[in-house]
Amino acid sequence: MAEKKNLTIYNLHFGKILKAKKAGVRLVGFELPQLDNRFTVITAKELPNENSISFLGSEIPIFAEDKIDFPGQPLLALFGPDYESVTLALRNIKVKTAPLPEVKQREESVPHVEFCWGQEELPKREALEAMPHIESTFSYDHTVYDSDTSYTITAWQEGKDLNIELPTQWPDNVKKAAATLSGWGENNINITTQRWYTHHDDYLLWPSIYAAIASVMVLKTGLSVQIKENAISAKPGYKIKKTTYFSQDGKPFAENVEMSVDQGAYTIASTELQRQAMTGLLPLYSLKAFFARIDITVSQRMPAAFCGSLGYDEALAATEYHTSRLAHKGDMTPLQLRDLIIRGKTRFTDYAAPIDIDNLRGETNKIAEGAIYNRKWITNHGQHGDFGLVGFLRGIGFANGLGIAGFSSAMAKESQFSSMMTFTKKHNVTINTSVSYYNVNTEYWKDLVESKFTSSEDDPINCLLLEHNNETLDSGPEVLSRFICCYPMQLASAAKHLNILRATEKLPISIKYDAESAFSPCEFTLSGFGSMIIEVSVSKCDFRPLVQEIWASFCLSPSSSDSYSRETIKRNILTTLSDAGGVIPDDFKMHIDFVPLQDSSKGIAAISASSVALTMASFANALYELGGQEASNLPTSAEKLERILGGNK
Amino acid sequence: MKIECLIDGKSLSLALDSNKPLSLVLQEYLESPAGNANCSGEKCGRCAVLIDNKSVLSCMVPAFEINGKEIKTYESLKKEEITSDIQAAFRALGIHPCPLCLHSRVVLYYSIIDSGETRRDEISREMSILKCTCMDKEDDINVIMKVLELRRKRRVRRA
Repeated sequence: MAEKKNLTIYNLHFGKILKAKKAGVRLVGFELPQLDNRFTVITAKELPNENSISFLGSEIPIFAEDKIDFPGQPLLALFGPDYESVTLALRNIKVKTAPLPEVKQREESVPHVEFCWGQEELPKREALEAMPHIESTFSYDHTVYDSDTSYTITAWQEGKDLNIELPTQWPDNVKKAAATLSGWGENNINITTQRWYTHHDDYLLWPSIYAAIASVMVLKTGLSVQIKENAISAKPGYKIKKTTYFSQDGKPFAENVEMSVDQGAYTIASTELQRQAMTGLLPLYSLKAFFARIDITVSQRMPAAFCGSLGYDEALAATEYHTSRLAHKGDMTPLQLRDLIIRGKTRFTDYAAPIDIDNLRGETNKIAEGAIYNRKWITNHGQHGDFGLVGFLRGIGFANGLGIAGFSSAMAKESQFSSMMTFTKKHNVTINTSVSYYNVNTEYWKDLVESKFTSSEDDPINCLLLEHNNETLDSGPEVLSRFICCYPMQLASAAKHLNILRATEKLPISIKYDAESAFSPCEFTLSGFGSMIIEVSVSKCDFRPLVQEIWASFCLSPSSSDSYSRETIKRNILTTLSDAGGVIPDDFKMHIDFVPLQDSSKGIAAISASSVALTMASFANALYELGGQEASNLPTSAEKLERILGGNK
Repeated sequence: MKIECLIDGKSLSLALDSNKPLSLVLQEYLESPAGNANCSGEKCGRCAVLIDNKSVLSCMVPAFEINGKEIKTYESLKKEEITSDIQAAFRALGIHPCPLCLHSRVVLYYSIIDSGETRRDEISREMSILKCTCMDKEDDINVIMKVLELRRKRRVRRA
């Protein structure tokens, strides 16, 4: 790894990016102010190669060229002697645009995906529509998150080598992006990763784009450069419409699901999104026929790169939201309905292997008793009924569901990972891996490995995790990190194996082990489960949705220490609520019950895969109770609730 | 404008634009992580520092206000005993604050403990300036109470 040479404000060139304010217009040109020779401008025309980088199979333009695709799209990069002068110069640049002659609807770049069973048993559409049915729509608008955190990308040349230092969730992609845009050989690009932390996926796509721009600047001028930008990311917009048809005896007979995902200006990992979402759409109750269709759409919004989820969370949230609507219509509490349907095993599909869900009922009942859920639900339900005199604007939402561990088998097969464990002559165990372990409690990994070796007080075993390898594909988002979840299992197994070998083989001895779990015949392995109840009230002064109390229970295989897992769950819940518009008051209470699931033979579910989904679902359910369908559209806000509730209450 | 101040024990003489926010000064001249928070004055609360032992948001302090003052960031606080007490309290309570707000949180704890404030509602009010979702206010109160307990126990042992 390259040593960072002595770069200071006196020998660096500083860059800022001019971004578009309006989308859907034609970019005519720029009117630049008088700039002296200390400034350098880079636009799409100055790039030595094609104006795009490859990101998970999609081509993402670096700068807007003819048309502005989304607000926030880079238009040009300006480099100067310091950030202040660059910022002032940027303010004086006028962007000349013209209206587009006609707005052409972009063609669907990702074909829709359909999944069904029992279709032959379905009656004709007219007959189906005549059957009693219940419809619900769960929606989560496309959202851009600005994390209010600035970070720098520094690039400098040393001989034939280009060095780039930046925070990134995907170093390998940064290298490829810089090589593609600047023409620098990939072997001559060294990436140094800074420590990063994010609640969203801020360091996934944009650092690669900025690093590519910085590499072009270094190529053009030979100077050392630094770009400073705020960490931003976008979450796709979701609209999921579920319709359940009932047979004559009142049992669910068939279900039709239409899901539409707005991924922003470009589609990123859309096929994986479709696979994950489809897994989340499968209900826990039994049906004779099921039909689901997922459409990916593009819009003039910032492209959404993951943002902690590739569809499973939102799909599961929609399924749980719909299940509560079924209970609502059936004059049952959502808990009573789930008590009836959660039995036996889930269905075997291409997307998920069957799993025993009987234990889920026990966990669910436990938290429901603590929250006095049924009584509160009935009381809240009365506020909208014939007996409601005063709207007291409270809601209690419930959700439960299963977790998945990261990427699908199809996606995981595309990535190559390596891991090696060595037992040294000094009786140390070293682990060298390309698996990204930022934001992971590595102490738990070390303790786990040390516990698998037979050691004495005179001869203790120390486990060391070697410096991170750059060839890393796994991205930071915990929810997608199949490897982070399954990795402890593999570490334990490799340590056991090495402990046997060290007695017979000459030291040092190394073993390579597969950083990927065994591929199941299905795309995902369902594992672990959780239940959550959220109580929400609306502030009578300003209509803010105040989250009063949360009861949650999670039964997951440990991929980290208990306290760390509990904290991760808590953080996920609070962040998801905050993103969804929930306000945490001073007297807020949270009760989290974390039960480590000892049987991890069927894989480990990512903590966030279920906690984010259940938070969204129970929050939406609570909002539905206090304000109906429109109030439950996420993210919510005080203004939105005032508009919906203000007139009626 | 020429500004002389003491930042983290270093005596500095800087030629600066008098309106430059302290967060930018810290970031550009000292590469302090306190300056990484960049909320454009929306008070995210992640850039807290101590000016003459009082906690302030560095993005809200113009450079001319630091002339002749002593500024302490997390970098200097982490060498003090109280920071190890705070870390011990985190460990004891099983709390893992996120790296985004850790520095600011420690500065705010320091300020509250230093002022001798123990009322829960006052602690809650002081901490409400930090808008990070990794911890709730009950956790903050518990951490501060735990730190006070650790310090009290140490004083008893010394006595």
